[in-house]
Amino acid sequence: MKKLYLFAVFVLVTAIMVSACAAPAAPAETGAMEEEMPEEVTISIITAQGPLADGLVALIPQFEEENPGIKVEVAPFPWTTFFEKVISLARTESGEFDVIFADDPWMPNIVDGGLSVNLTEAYEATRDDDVPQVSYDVFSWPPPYGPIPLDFQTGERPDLHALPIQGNVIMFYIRQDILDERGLDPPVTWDDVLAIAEQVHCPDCDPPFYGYNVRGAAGSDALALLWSMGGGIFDDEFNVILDNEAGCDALTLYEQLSKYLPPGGNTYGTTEMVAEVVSGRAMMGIGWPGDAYAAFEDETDSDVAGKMLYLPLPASEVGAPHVSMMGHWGLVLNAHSENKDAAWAYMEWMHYNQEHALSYAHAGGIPFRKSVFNDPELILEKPWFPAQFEALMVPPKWRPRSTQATGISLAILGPAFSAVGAGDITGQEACEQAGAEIRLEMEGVTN
Amino acid sequence: MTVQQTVSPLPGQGASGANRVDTQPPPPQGMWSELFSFRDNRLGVMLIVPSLLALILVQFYPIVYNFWLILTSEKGEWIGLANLSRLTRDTIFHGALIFSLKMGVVVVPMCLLVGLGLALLVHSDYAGRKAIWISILIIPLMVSEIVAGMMWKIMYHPTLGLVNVPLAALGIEPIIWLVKADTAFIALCVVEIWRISPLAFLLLYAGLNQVPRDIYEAAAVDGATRWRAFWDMTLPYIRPMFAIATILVFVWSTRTIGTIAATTQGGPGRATWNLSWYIYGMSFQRLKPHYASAAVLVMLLMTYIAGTIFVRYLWVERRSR
Repeated sequence: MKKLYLFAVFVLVTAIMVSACAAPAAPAETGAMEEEMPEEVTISIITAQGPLADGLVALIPQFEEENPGIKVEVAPFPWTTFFEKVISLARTESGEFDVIFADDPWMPNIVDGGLSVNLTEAYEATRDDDVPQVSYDVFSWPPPYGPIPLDFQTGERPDLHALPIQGNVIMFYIRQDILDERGLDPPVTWDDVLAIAEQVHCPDCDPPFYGYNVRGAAGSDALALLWSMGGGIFDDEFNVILDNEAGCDALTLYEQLSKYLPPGGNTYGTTEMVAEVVSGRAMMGIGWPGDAYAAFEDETDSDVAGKMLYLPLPASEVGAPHVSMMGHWGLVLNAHSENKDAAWAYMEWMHYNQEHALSYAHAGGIPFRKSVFNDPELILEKPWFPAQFEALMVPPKWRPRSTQATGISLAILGPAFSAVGAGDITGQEACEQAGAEIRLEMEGVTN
Repeated sequence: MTVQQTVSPLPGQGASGANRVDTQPPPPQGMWSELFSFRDNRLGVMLIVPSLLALILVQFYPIVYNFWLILTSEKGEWIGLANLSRLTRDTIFHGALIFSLKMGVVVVPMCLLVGLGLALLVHSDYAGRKAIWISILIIPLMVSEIVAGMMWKIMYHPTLGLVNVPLAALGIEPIIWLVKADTAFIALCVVEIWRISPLAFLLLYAGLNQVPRDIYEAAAVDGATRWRAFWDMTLPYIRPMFAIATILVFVWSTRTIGTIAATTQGGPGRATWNLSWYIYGMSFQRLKPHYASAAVLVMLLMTYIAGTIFVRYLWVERRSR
């Protein structure tokens, strides 16, 4: 009897453990939206920590007030693990998050992983005239131009797989007050940048002043520099062109710029790069507006607030386009979500309404609408907006549409620039080595 | 009055030790048959089955899954040992493997030396309030890898960092620690020694506390010097702890990733890529988890071989004497 009792306890404990580990039951199949949606739906958005999440969170109360029945939860992840999380969602076909606030270079991974809903097909998503077309192009699949992945060169109509919410573009910053003081013109080409850097660089001054500044750790600025010099990783057929003349010139340019860096600048991340600028010790460099320029213009902590000039990236030569690099963020509707209609309602609300986009920018987000970029009140707060809009209209380039692109950029191109910055190899050697490595990497993809 | 049928076994002899006076039939051969031979044990076994299953899932499933990943391509096709054979030609992998081993070779002895020194110091009569010393000395152990890395990155800053201050006082030019491959290696080793030494200290201090005090008194009566007592009595006693500390420090120092992420991000170039950084990059940046799994196997084997060697020469050796 005692044994039977103990066995019953064992069975009960095991059953409780198993049921606790089991996944929650899937909701019942539903019909049309009005009939389907339960009284209250909670949608979950995965995003990166920082200003990206802050802008979304700030607008939630207004959305929930205007859309009774839909609650919004924002799950911010540290930047370093965010991409891994998105990849994991695709691999596990998880509907844990209904909306993914995704960086544009991840689109190949997202679409290839079956993580996105085709918004044009499913919800008849359209393009708004107030939004630069390139901001839609970057979230379209297949890509409407540029290197198109071989599997998608089918002539299919590009459909929207995300709605842009942040129209980020990397730009160039320079100390306007020093230019004025020395009677120098703002740089138009990278040769101008080198000339200015040479003139103002004074590492032995007290305090020291450095001609150029960079996020050198892992060669973070590499791709932007490469494109602005007219180079690239791939041509339109996905042939590797990194080691062509323009590509090698870009790495050689970085070799020359490295002479004017702060000591250790080649190991800098964004934090150290910003610290050099706000303490008034650096002349110029490349930076993302969201994480750098807001700090430059913060009067409480910055010695250079109001003294900066923001420009599209310098060109390779006079008359060449000022090509920049895109870093747009958009809302992707998770194909595995169980609350697609509610999630789409949220995405529509965030994207298609000009007032909401303006509120988002006031809350710290980066605009994506032309009207918001040119809002006079916002420009007073964020003086880089006109230059950012100008860079956006060139148009800038997006990271190659390949699932391998992020890896190539981080694991091949970045280390190549880093090695050049450290003086270990020349720009010419680095571009040849990196070109060969990328060819090897792509053999498995294209063959 | 009946006489107790069994006496307590001596330490190390276990329940089936030689001193056991057995009136019961001899136990059946083998662990499993022994377990199931007693009717009362069956229930016990059944009760531990859920935990055992969970353990198997957590411990063995990932290893088996890793093997499946190694034997298949990124598209899931069977490719046999192609991933492992590709590793033998991958010069970036070779660099990462050598860097990991170099880190181990430098960090392990340094951590053991620092840990032993601290343990002897705290264990000695000179250190009063031992609890306070211990809680201070293990602070680096409680700091996450990333935080430690960020803190040291600031300390290594050529002009603002503290590390160059004493060098400047000696008239030595500031060293730009993280920019060059050789200085970046030294810098990373120092961070790891700072971070991991407290682990060695804790283990060796625990070992020292196991050494009976009276043997020192006996040695003193016999005229042994302090050094002789340390070499012939203390060290042999703490040898098992030394082996454990060596294995753990080796594993910690060769698998570090947070420190690299926060300080050098693998640079300059790929000069500070270790195996963990390589596996992370291959898996999450270049999206080749199957190929990365082959490197995981190498890392596992490296740890296993090193662990076996340490146990064989530091632990078992003593027991066989």
